[in-house]
Amino acid sequence: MLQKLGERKTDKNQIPFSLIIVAFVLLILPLLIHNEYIIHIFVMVFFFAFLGSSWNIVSGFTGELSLGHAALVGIGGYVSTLLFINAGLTPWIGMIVGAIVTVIAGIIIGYPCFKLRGPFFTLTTIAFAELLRIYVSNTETGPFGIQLKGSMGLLVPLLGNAPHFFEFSSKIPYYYIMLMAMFVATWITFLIRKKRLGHYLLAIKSDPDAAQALGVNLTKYRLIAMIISSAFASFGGVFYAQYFRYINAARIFGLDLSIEIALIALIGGQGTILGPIFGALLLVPVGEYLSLKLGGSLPGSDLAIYGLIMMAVVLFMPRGINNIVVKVFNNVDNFLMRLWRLKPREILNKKGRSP
Amino acid sequence: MLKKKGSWLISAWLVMVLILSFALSGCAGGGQSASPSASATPTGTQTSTASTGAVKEVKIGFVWPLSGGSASIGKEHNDGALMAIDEINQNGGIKSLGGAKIVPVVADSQTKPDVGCTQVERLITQEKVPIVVGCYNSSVTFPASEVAERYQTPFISQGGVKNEITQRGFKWVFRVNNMEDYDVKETFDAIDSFIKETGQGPKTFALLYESTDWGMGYAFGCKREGLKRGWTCVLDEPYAEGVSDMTPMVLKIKSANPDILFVASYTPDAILFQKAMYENKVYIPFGIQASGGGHQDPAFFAAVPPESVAYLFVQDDWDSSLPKKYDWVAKIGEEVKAKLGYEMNDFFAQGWTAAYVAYYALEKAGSTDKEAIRKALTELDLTFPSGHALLTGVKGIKFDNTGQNIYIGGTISQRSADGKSKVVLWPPENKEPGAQVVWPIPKP
Amino acid sequence: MLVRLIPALIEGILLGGLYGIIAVGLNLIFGVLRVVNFAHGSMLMLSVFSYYFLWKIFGFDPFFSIIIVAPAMFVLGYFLQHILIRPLFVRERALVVEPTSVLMLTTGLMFFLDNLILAIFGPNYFSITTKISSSYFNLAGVAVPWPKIIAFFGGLFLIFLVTWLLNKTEIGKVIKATAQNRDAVAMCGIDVYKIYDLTFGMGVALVSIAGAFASQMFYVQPSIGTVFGVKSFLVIVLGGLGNILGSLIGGLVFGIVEALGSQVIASSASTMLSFLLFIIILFFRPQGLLMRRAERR
Repeated sequence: MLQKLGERKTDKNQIPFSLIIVAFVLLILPLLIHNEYIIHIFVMVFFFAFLGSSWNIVSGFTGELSLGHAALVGIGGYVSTLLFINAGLTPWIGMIVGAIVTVIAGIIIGYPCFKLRGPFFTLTTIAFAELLRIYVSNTETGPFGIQLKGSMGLLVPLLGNAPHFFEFSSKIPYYYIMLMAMFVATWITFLIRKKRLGHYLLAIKSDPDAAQALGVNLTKYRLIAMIISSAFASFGGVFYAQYFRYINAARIFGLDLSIEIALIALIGGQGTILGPIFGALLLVPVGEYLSLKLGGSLPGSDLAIYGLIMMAVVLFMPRGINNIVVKVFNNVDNFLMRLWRLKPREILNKKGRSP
Repeated sequence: MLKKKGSWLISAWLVMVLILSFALSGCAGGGQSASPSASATPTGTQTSTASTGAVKEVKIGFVWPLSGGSASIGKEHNDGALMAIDEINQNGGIKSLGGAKIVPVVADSQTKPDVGCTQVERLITQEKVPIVVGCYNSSVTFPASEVAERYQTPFISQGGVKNEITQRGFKWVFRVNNMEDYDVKETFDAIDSFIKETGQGPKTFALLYESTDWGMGYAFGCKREGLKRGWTCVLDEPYAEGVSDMTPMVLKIKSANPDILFVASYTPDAILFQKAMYENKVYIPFGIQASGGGHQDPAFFAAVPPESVAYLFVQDDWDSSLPKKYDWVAKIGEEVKAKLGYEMNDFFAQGWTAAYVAYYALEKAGSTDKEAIRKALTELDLTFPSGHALLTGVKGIKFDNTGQNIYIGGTISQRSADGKSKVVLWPPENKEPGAQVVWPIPKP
Repeated sequence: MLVRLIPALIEGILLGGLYGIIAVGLNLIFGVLRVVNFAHGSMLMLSVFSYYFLWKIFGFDPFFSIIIVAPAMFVLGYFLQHILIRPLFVRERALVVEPTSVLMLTTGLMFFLDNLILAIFGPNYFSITTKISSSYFNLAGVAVPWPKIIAFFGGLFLIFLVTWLLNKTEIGKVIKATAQNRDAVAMCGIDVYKIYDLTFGMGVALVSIAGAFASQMFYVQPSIGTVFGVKSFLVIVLGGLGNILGSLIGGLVFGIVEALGSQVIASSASTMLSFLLFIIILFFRPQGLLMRRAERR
């Protein structure tokens, strides 16, 4: 009955077994595949899945599309890197400082933004991110004499293999760090969804006025979601800086990045828990494949096809691919069980759609 | 029942698509997906092509911004590189490798640093290129060249002017073009020579520049040099690129009334700016000194009325008088005009020369072994013209121990009174015979 | 400095007028459909390219080409709405007034169109030079190219024409009614979706007319869409979403702030100022300058 109302129960018993197999494969992947390029692709998948999850917490659950998420990512990255370059502070601590600054920024941005709805909200988030981008791009020396370096960007000191400074010469530590981060973000999303916060947020999403009438403090819960989301986003920025050993305003505060993040979460499934992971697993390799096949020969055509895919998903799979993918895994489960002569669990076939 | 069937079909189809997209994205270019040799400890030896003996083809990787903000410039670099490779192949390819043909593998950095990195990584690990050329934007070159360094793959940097590119102690990064300070030095050396020649010079100066790293770096240098000469800076005007109107800046310049103006703009802003300057009849006695970027783009000149660029000083990164002096250059220029439809410019020439440098490195190394190529690059010593290689007119190619080319070849030219042609005035070795600077420029 | 301000003011007004016309189409679409069309800049870009090719191949003056391009763009807009966006409305009609999925759809459309044109025509910059586009005159210290002043007055005329259309003609009133209360209109037996199609077509046709002016004042290149696209949003929010006259006012304010701001502070700072202004307006008066509070949603 509960399933009929559209609520998705995701306690451990009902995660498809095949999905767990996939998670396990991801864990041991670097031991099987030694191709650095493929590892890199996976790192980017996890990176975007992680950021998509963080976006999901604030936008997916509340229903207000933020297209300025890059602002939060960028603040985290810049704070941590500036501390690293100017004060020699290890990014492991720098990221905590970065998270604090980002959270404060998130509250400052979020508090007024949340008073707005729909397109107003979206436009304001865009404006904030653009403001930050233009400011940092055009400023050599910021307040307090901090060397922002304008649009030249920040070069992270090259230390070779320096784990205590969040730098590794091999990709594999990065792989695992991001994989763990992605798992953590997903788990937190699951917790939020399960606990009261998630229910409040979903109530706010489906009908803010009714929720308010029921006594749900709109601003408070939205801000809580914003705080969690900002903290995650800032880690994404720190990771980017440490992985590429370079960070610049145009990219990290850019509208392109914001749209990519939002897209991955939306195509994965807005408001779902595993959605961002699926979205990233689909879009990152596809984007890379298109770029590889077409980018050099007919520039722009790969991005044009990317846009077509965006439109196709919105038109034909508006709830994202989450449901379909979960169904696929269920079917695989059933298939495997039949293979082993087990009776497929009744519950799996009647899995409700996620809201 | 139908629902079940449908979901089965979709499931099977989706699983196949996902697997396919993984397989293709990982294994593209015929690379092995689980080759232990391309692992965390890359060596210099190629496994797919023999290091000695006859090879049929050698790949060279190119990473340019083919979409995004620098798309038009990236395309011109790419055009130059591809045409150079055509010519090299037609002339017998890499002779020390038994006439092996060069296969260019081109990737788009989208003007984004992380995409540039991904592409360089892909070119090295999947396409197995022994040498990479790129990336024009400094912001992309920084991390992308580091990727090449980590994979111990020779990286020829073309376009990035930020000093740090060759100041990181890297062994595998070689820069063909000059560092940013050079543009300023050349501009001011030329001005000094004009002052000496005519006994007249500016007392006040103004700066108009796009506010990203190129423009800011150039303006910073110009300001320093101008103040050093005792001039007064009457206007220091950065603007965010992508503006829809340059008239407000032009009005500011008009009222500041500088004797000389230094400009650093990309093509779209340059077009708007030049038009507005002309329409508002702003007179700058000692001319507008434009440093490359948009002012080197043939599209810029095609888009503005010729009268608007009369007496314009342009600092080119190549010797733009070459077509007049050398037939072979003029011929290439004609081919460019015929095949590609634009006037050959320095972006094209720089792409061309960078490709040739890669070729010469391979030729000298006689092998596709990366260490051999690197060594060849450190020992490379080309002088103009080296066949058709040094299309930019640079005096030579020789890398110092930081990987920076010690020869730099840019020129200062001034456009004619009708704006339709130009003469190269500086440096003296490139000065066109009989060329005379118009200094100060006459009031319209 | 005061001497500088007057020509700058004039420049700001003229530029603002152009912003206004470009934004009018967007505003009409938003007012009626409650959809922010992220592909608006791409529509402008498409029309600019059309003018360029009509000029290059046939030698038509862009002002003349309007009679070709505007109806063609109307048809394009009509079908875009009909085929791509309408299904989203139908699907989500029970849930929300403005589906957020439309936002992502138009974003995808923008990606697609901008890069399609880039792939086909390349990244180079072209420009149109006609007799009108190269002539200019002097007005109080600033040079005004003829296309700019024609654009300004043409745009004014257009905006008043649209306002008249909305208020005085039958179809206009229906559109206006749909903007105010679509359910009531539906109950009167009018096919709301058809009105949407019409309105979208009109909005795109309007921006294509603006393209005729823009193509002569700027350059022809795929990125021209992004330069004006983002600004259009800021303008319509300033003026008031859904208010046609508001687009003009918003555009003027925006243009004047940009032009005057550049005189007082560095241009790069002035760009930031525009965004800051936008954010401030959204906080204190989100309905824009011309709308009353209740009309916000």
